[in-house]
Amino acid sequence: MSGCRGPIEGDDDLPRVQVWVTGGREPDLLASIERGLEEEGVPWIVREAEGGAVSLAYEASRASALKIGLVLTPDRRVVIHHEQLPADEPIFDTADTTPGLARTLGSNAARLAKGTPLTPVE
Amino acid sequence: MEYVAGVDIGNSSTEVALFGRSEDGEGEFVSSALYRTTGLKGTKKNVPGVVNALSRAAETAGIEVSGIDRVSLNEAAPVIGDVAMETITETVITESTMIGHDPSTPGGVGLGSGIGVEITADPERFATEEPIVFLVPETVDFAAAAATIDDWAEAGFEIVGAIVQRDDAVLIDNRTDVEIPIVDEVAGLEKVPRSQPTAVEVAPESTGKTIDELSNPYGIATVFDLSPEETQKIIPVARALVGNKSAVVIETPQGDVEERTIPAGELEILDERGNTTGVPVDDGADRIMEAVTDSWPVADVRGESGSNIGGMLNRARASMAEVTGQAVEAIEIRDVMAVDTLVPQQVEGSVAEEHSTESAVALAAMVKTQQLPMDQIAAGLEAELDTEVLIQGVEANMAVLGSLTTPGTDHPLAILDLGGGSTDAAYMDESGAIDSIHLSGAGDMVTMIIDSELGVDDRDLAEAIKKHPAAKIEDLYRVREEDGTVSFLDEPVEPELFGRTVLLEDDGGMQAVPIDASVEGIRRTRRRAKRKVFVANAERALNLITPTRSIRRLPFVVMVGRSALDFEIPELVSEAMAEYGIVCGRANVRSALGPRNAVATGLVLSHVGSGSYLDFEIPADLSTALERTTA
Repeated sequence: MSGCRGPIEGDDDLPRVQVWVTGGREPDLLASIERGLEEEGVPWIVREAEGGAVSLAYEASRASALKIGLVLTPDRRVVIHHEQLPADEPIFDTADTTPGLARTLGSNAARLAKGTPLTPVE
Repeated sequence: MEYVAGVDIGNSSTEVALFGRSEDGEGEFVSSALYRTTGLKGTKKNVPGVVNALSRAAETAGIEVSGIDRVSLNEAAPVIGDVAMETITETVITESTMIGHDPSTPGGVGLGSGIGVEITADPERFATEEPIVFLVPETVDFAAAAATIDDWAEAGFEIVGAIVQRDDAVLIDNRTDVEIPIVDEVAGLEKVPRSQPTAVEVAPESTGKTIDELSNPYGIATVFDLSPEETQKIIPVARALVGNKSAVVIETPQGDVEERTIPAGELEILDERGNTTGVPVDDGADRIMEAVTDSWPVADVRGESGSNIGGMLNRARASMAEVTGQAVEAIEIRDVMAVDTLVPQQVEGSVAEEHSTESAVALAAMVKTQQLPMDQIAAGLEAELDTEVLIQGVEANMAVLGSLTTPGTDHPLAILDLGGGSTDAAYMDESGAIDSIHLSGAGDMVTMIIDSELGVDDRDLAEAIKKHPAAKIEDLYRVREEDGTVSFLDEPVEPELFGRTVLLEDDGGMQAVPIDASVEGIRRTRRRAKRKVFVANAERALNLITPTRSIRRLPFVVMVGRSALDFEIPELVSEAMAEYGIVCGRANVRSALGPRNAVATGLVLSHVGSGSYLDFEIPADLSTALERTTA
């Protein structure tokens, strides 16, 4: 598997998408997002964090060597950010995300890193 | 001050050149204008467009339209062009035998061949000797599929590949201990035959390689142990899989792939001596063009009714008859141009929307009649503007006069008018006499070829692909152009454009190309279509128009017309003409207007004399208005 779970051991320079979850417990959608990333063959890392979803996603993107950060909240909001974008303008920000959409978003986060066309999200 | 306007009514745009002359006879061009042609060229419906173009020119010059003392019209060439495409081969699969689709993320690597088995099947019912390819429907989760593969492998079965309905190939590959090729996103999995010999191939990752066994007829023959006769039949399958990163081929007992030639009818070419030459369209473009050359000058062309080409020829005849009010029988088709092309078409009976490349012939026709009813337009204009309106000269002659205002030109000279519907040429000899010719095949034909070769199926998009360079959005802020140059954007691109091939529009905008084609593929197809039409027609036209029938004797060739404004057509033609050692380039009318406004400028010069714009005296037959004044 391409993913890496658990505590971060100071190797953030590895090219990985930063997936940050808030709310102190693992949301159901995380698995769907991870499947999307995995199928596209892009490595990622999951850690816990606290803060506003958009600003946190921006912070995650700055921590990612691939420049891509994803935040997942307990109320099923998913925000994907890119380091080069203005801090308050994420690429994707969806509320009440379904598992199917979550997988698409995971795959889009990976595609952003690969530079391949994204799957439309609506 | 006296004002004279030259008005050129073209197929798509109406151009005006406005000339001001003082009492002492000295004068200069004061403005130019362009407006879209209203109605079909050569009909009374053109009048509003002409009035609009004149108003614009007058406004730029700071005068009222009523201040224009005289309007010179051109006598438009009485020709129209039309285009059609005829596919001459088709591939039919009577029972599904291949899945040539190319999922973006297949899993595993290598070639595996065995019997197709539903993944939910009971292992008890199978013998362990036979290698197995699993079929995984969307109802089976990737984790369960991976576990089943491992279970069967542990039980002694040899699992050699998998075909998956969902986009799960990498997920399954990551979870199984067996290293097998996995092809996914096979939407029509239920159509895949079970219990048949099945081969799956996935090309190795990060090597830049594509599959090499299933795209090779002998590779398929090796996998399925085919006879020489059977190998001949699977050639279309192998060909359709070339360049894929992954593929599936299934052998079915009754299955058959057949490549057929569709009868496309015959073209009958009549020459002016009364001979008729018949050419079957499916013989291809070279044979058709040979017959046209042999029959030159062509008197008429007929197509078989019921074929696309026959229908197109009749349509062109009918619209010309409508414009001129003549009987359809009186309209003649004086030239056809044929180009061989390849068209991707969905395979009949396919499982995953496979396409195969079929041969087709693109055909353009040029219809000609005696004379367009220009006097009606002149009368309409006179009534509208209350000004004197003259039909000053024939389009081709006026274009030559206008083109000669290009710095660095002199006669003898030939002009190439690269239009949308036709490619026209005119030649002015040492004495100033002009001869002209109209050939079919121009911008519209290029659009049609791009449309069908790229499988765009949208004429507007094909037109945009023709007119704009392609580029790839590599990043949120980075665009790589066709030539490899990278430019950076101030604003991030929209998510819809990310990673896509786009067209760079003139105003800096970007339009996504919603087809699966690379920047290189688009560029190659676009330039080839332009070469096949315009370079071929430039050679044809110049050979026919020069008195010696040899391009090499031409000192100057000047390109004008709508397609001469294209960003690469002039350079493609110039490049080809350089081989003949002649000076060929895009016009720069009045040292400022590029290939625009040549006819309108020529009309004015024909009326007011060469002045400071031409360094020779305009011959009498070019400087007198035609005898078709308004009745």
